[in-house]
Amino acid sequence: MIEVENVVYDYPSQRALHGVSFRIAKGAVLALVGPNGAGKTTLMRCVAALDTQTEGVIRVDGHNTLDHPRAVHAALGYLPDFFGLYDELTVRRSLLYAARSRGVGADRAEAAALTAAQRVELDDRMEQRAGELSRGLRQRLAIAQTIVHEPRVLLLDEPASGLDPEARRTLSEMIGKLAAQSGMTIVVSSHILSELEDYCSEMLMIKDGQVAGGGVLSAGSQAQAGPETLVDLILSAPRADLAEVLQRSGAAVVRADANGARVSVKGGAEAETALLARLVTAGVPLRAFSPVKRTLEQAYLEEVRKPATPVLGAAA
Amino acid sequence: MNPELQRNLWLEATPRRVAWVVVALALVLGAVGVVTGMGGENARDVGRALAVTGGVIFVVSALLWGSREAGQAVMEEIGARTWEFQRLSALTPWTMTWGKLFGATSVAWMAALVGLTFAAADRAVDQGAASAMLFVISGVAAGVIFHAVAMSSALIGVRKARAEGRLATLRGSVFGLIFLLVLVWVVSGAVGGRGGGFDFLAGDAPVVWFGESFPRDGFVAASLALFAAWAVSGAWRLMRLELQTRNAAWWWPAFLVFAAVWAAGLASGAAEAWLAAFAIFVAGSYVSAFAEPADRIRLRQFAGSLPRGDVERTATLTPAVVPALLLAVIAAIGLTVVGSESSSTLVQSGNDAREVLNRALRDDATPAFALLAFLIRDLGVIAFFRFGARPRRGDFGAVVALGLLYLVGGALGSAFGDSVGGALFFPHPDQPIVSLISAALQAFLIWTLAARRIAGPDRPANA
Repeated sequence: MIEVENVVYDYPSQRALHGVSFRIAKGAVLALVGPNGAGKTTLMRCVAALDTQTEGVIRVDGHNTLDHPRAVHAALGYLPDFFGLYDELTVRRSLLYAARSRGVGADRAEAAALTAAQRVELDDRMEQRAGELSRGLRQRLAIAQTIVHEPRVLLLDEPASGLDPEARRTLSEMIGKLAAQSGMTIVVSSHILSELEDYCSEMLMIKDGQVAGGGVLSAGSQAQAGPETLVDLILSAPRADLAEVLQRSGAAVVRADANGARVSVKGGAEAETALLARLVTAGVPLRAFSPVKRTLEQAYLEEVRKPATPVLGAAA
Repeated sequence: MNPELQRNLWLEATPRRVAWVVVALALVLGAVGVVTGMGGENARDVGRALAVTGGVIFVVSALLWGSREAGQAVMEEIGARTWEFQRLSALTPWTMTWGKLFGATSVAWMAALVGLTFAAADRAVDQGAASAMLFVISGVAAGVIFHAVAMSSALIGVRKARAEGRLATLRGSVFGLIFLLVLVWVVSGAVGGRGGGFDFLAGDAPVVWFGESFPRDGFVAASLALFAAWAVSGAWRLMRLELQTRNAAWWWPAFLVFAAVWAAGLASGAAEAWLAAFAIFVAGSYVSAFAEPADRIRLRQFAGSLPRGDVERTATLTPAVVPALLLAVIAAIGLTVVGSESSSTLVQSGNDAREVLNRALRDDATPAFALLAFLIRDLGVIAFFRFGARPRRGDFGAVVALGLLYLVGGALGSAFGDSVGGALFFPHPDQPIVSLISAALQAFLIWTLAARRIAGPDRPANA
């Protein structure tokens, strides 16, 4: 659904993106993460065909952003990190304008506005002016305006920024529902990784204007499907030779003491089952055998703490 | 209905605002009528007083208030952070342009048309219905020109601000309108034969255009209507750029050629016609040098696409100053050819050929090419400052530098070397060869420096 090939973006005095490439499949919910100034917003704006990359190709729903920017605009909804609303318009008029200006026919605009309001749970405030809404509700109205034309791709840049914890939770649930019900391809940039965990199926890390961590990774509940799994073991009774027994059973010990251990297992679920069987056979008094989920936050921190990779050809 | 027009009407033409405007107009016009009537004037004098008041209402509402609203139609979107949402809309650039142009100014137009009606009614009594109709067409076209120029200037300001990494302000619209007023003043006055003023618009004598005589009010109405169409189409072309639609570089040269033909038609001879065209192309070169964003990325892409022979891409990346400058060169050549033709006529009439040739070079060709060389130098100065490390101060720096070169340099040169010294710093009519050589050397020097700035670092530093 989104293809990005060797995208370079130059500001007059600095390069913001250095040959970024990745692909996002239809229906994926991607967490776009990275430190401040990494190039996330620039990348999103290029994908949204709001800014023009210096080099490289971006296709959204098959449309090249350079050749057919207006087709890209029609295919997506983009909510920037700093957005505005028409404060003097009511929620209904805001959504009607959004629908009509996004190509929804006059005969269907009312229904589209109502549907969008229902999706963000604003349908009970249709006659309230946008300027009278709280920050959380304004965020919801902005998202409703962004999805009123049923885009195939939704880009949300730091949507939870500035919201209180309750509003964040509501927003998180709302995006989760959108992802599950609409089939949209969603890209969410955020620093609040624990919330992305709930609904993101993939993660892409941008660091220093480059893709870090090897490209698009499985995230959230899929995160442990990698080649290695960490497993925590807790014993019901201490066993002094636990580390020795684990090594004999073929497990790579990360850490161990008499009461428990963390081991690394290669080979997926079957290897984990086999290890469990060997430990039980060896008489290890296991109380818990728990695969450890590698959270987005862990993956993110591991990547950002790696030393910066020099950029070939970059001037000082 | 156009959704952009609808939204603007929702926001601008609220029942409360409309009611206030109606009350204010009724009070002003009513007061003028009552005061004039109480002064013992007859009905005709009351009508004239109302017409003058209507004219003032039109100028204030259409030209001042409406222009502000047209500029704000874009600037308020920037301030309210709704512009990106609009840029992503499915509206065509044309729908967006006219929706904003007539929606944002709807209440101002309402007041302006009331004023124009009073002014036109008085004209209908004095000069007949046809004259009143032409007067209304002229008024409406003038309003549209002002609004379209205000919106275009705002759009230019938005593009420049984005390239220079600063927030856009309404300053662009103000500069645009001031430039428009100066242009109208110069053109109108020049045609009226006095070098400045609004004689052309206000006079009664027929207009001679390419040898044909036209009633002045009809000619003015037709001219304003045509320029209004160009102004609106200019706003549309700039809106296309904001909505990420590529523009081939035909509009600007086409407009300059139209303006040049219009002005040439008013000239009294072939040399004056070419001179008028030359002046318009030179002015167009300066305008485009300041109006386009200082975008070195785009210039690098232009420089890259040119040798590849990628015509379509090159056409969209060509800086607007390039066709304007080429047109100025063509006009300078035209001026030379016309000068040669008049010289031949003089030779055939028995004049000394050598003297005639010298006169042609002095009076026609060399001054034009000296001016051209100074133009190229000035474009280099503008580029040098606008592509500097602090682009947001580039325009100001370029204006100051040009002012110093022309005023201080010219004054010093004249003080030390009479006409030859002055000719080193501005196109001197008595020393065109000196001016040409001096300007060419200066142009070479400043463009060498400017090119280094535009090229910048080979590859931008890491983010």
